[in-house]
Parts: sequence; structure tokens; C-alpha cells
Amino acid sequence: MLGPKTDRAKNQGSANSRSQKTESFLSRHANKPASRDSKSTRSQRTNEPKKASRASSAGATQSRTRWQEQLNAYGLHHVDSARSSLERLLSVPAQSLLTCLVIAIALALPAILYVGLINVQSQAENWDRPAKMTVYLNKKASDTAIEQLIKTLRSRENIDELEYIDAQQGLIEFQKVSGFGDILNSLDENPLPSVIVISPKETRVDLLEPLKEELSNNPIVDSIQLDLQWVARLQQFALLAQRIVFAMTAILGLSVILVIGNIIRLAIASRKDEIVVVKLVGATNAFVRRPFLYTGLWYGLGGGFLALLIVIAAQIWLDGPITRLTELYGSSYQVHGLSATDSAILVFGACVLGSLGAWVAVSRHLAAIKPS
Amino acid sequence: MIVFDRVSKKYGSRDALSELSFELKTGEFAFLTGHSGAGKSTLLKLVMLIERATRGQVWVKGQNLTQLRDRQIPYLRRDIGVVFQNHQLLADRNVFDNVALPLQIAGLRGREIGRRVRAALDKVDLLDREKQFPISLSGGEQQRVGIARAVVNKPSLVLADEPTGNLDPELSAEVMKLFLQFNQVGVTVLIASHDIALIRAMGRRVLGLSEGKLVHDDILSVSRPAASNPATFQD
Repeated sequence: MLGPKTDRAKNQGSANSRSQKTESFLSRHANKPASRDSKSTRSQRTNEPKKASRASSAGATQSRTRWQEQLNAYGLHHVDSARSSLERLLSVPAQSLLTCLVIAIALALPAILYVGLINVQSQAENWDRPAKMTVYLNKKASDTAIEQLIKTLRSRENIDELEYIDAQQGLIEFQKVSGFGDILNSLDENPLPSVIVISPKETRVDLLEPLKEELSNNPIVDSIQLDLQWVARLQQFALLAQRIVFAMTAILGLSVILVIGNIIRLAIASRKDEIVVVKLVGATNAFVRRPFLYTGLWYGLGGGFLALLIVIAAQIWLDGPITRLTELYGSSYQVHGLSATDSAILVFGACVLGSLGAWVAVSRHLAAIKPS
Repeated sequence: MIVFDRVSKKYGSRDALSELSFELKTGEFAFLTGHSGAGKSTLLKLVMLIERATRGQVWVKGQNLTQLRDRQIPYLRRDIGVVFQNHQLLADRNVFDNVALPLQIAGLRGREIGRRVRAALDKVDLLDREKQFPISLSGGEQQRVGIARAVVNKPSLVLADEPTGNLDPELSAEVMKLFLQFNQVGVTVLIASHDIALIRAMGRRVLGLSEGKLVHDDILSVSRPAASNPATFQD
């Protein structure tokens, strides 16, 4: 329905009220000069139509509240367009659902990829912090040499934290954690070296590699464990995945615009006669456009919600296996889902894409329909 | 109300109207007649701004249509009531909603719409049919719904393109009576019609078109059967 259907009051068709209506119907015309050919009458009609209408009481109310009414009418037509376009969609539920489903699938795919991405990213961030450099010292190193080394390291800019664990302390900790206490006690000497654990400010291979190089040249350093490569790889992978998600979102978002655009184009074509009639009786382009834009919006909204459902379903489905898998690896991992904000963005974005698709179709095809 | 000043309209190389000049004053009631293709519909289209003149000036209600911008066209059309030969009613809306359409477009509120729609339907004597759909109405009734829709917004100008084209003489006379009633309260009426007998019976001003030119501008009535060459107007 292009125009809204009006709520109509019950028809009181009594003869009295009828004749009253006829009178009121004619009231404005009654003010008009009925003369046929006076020039002055014509100029009065053409140049002062507002004055003439103010003369009648109905006209006065009309012009006084005109802009207000226009504004109200504008809002009213938005509400009516929204409602009537929704009713139109609901009147063919299967067809509308299919359309929404197409949109939902197109949106769910990048959304699921995004969920995967935020999980990978959260892991990459978690691994980012413990990217520590462990420096194993030579057992024969003197305390002064060790102190000297610690001092120089502390003066370095890139080093956030520095922890020195001497051999004795290390042994105590290891006994506690490992449960090998008795075996360790049976040993003649402490098998563990003293260790310096360096937490760099930034996990950057290009900054840490030179430090590692320098430290390994130090005679009191036995070996250095710096497992940075895989962190860098993971981060790079996350970046790549992010780009892929963006690209997918863009491509599939475009496909949503095209799908909705095409559906709206068909809707416009099927209602061509109706559009012609409303244009003939004075509808502006905006008036004709509005219901179609709302149709796009509803498709977007429906598609967005369905996409959200698909993502949540996928998440629930994968949550169990992932948790069990991480348990098997001896860690516990909580799968990150779409946050409330992410969900809102998904649905809102779908609405925007739907309206955009409708806009594309409407601006391309509606102007072409003119009364002839 | 309507002024044509040497108006020409070309479709490709064909002249639909050429150098047409006339004036229709406020409150006038006139017929527009001529062969099919004589330019009647083109003339009405120029008044409605469905088409724009190739040359010349068209004035409607003091507005120069040549200078009217596209986005102002809807507002011009809101003050012109149009009746079509094929009614142009929307099949998926009932009589009430069809008649309410111009009011909804103009942005009136529900209560005011109801009042005016019923008044218009009452005028064409179809008040009891407001819930019916156009398909269930007879040809004459459909045309009356079309007329109700044309006048519901109280336009100062009513155009009709062959409003009695599909009606028998009796119904045609009824429809014409309606137009006369509107004219009596000050509405300017311009009716394009072939129906020479009916036009004669009305005794009003007749603009005769032939090949895009105004060939006749006079009152054609029963009392003056030889006013012009009737062959000019008849198919």
C-alpha cells in the first residue's frame, strides 16, 4: 500500500448527517465567485487564494495550523508507511522470510568470521604479555657479574620488568610446582641455573633480537629462550584474518544491498500503476519513495535478527567442542561471542544496508515511472 | 484559470499541438473536443504537467508552468482534480481508501479525511459503498468514485478526460450533472469528450481541436446546431 489506509470512524449514515456533510463539502466552494468571466475575479482567485480561503472559517483553521499539520502529516505518513510496508511483507510471510534468510546468511558469514577473529585476537593478546625472555645464567657466574648484568639491563629502555630468580629460589619453586620434591632432594646439587626473566615493554622481534644477540655474547649467559617467532606469526595471522573479515563484510554487505535493491525494483515494477495514480493526484517523490525505503528497512531488520540467531546458534554449537578441546590441552578457554554492542551493530548495520539497497533501487527506478 | 499562449508540443517530429492559444476563466465550464489524436489529451497533460510544452507558455492558476520546477509539480496537481476515462482506481483498496488518497497525500488527519471522503461520496451518492472494492462496482459507479476522488480535495480546477467514454447516455447525463453541480459552486471544469450529443445538450463553451490547432471556440448547443462543422469533432 503506497498510501496509508485510514482508520475510519464508524459510518453514521443518517440522512441528517449526510446532508450536513454535503453542506460542509460545498462550503469552501460556496465562497468562490461563481461568475464566469470577470477578469478581476480571475486575478483574485489566482493571486489571493490564501486570503480567499481564510475568509471561510474552515480555511482559517487550515492556514493557521498549516505548517504544524504538514509536520504532523509528515510524521504520520512515516508511521503509516512503516506500518503498511510491514503489513505488506507479513502478508506474504514465506516469501519475506526467504528474503530475510538470504540477507541473514550473507551477514552471518562475516559475523561468524568476526567472532573467530576476536577469539584469535584475544589469544594473541594473552600470549603477547607473557612473551618473556628467559636468560639462563652460567652456574659458575659470580654474584658480582650477575649483579652487574642486572644493573645494565635495568637501565635499558625497552625493558618493563626484570625478575631475578637465583638457583636456590628456583629449586624451591620447582619443588612446589612440579611435585618432584623428593627426587630433587635426593640430588647432590641443585641442577637448576639462576635465571633472569625479562619482560619487554613491546613484543617486537626487531627490538628483542639485538638484545638477545648482545646477551648471548655475555660470558655468564648460558642460553636464552626467546620464543617470539610464533607470537609474531600469530599476530600477523590475526591481522590477515582481520583484513579477510573486512573484505568479506564489504563484499557480502554489497550483496545485501544488491539483493534488497533487486527485490525493491520488482516491488516497484509490480506497483507501477499505483505509483502513476498517486503521482497524478499530487504525491511527491518522497511520498512514493517512503514505503519502499521502509520495506528495505524491514528486510534489513529481519535479516539482521536472523543473522544474529545464526551466529548465536553457531556459537552454541561450537562452544562445547572448543571447551573440551582446550580442556584436553590442559587449559580452560571461554569462547568469546558477539557482545551486546556487536549484536546491535550487526542488526543496525543490516537495517542500514537494507535501506541503502532500497534507496538505490528507488532512486534508479522510481523517477522513471511517470504518468503518461 | 488556464491560459495557453502559442503553445506547441512535439512528439519527435509530430506536432501534437501547434501554436495553440486560448484562455479558460475561473468558474468556466468548457468542453474540449476533436478527433482522436487531435491533441485533447496532450492539452490536458500540459495542464497537469505530465508533459511540458515544447514552445509557448502555459499558465494555470496564475502560475507559469514553463517555469515550474519538477518538485513543485505535486503541489500543482493537488489543486487539480482529474477524472479519467478508465477511472484509474486502485483495485486493492476499497472505495473509501481510493477517495481518501489525495487527502492522505496532502497530509490530512484521519478524522478530517473521514469527514471529507464521506462528503464527497455522499455527493456522488455512493456513501453506502465505501467498504466495497472497485471491482464490485458498475462502470458508472466506478466513474463516480473517480469523480469523488477528483473533488475530495476541493480543487479549484477539475479536468476530465473522456469521463463518459464507457458509459451509456443515461449514466453520462448523470455524470455531467455532477460536473455541473461542481461548476455551480465555483469550480472550473474542462472536459475532453467525443460525445457531441451530450456536449450539445449541455450548451456550454466548446474548444474544438484538429491536428493540434484550435479550430473552434464557441458555444455548441441544440439551439445552434450549425455553429460549426460537427464533422470536425466527430470520430
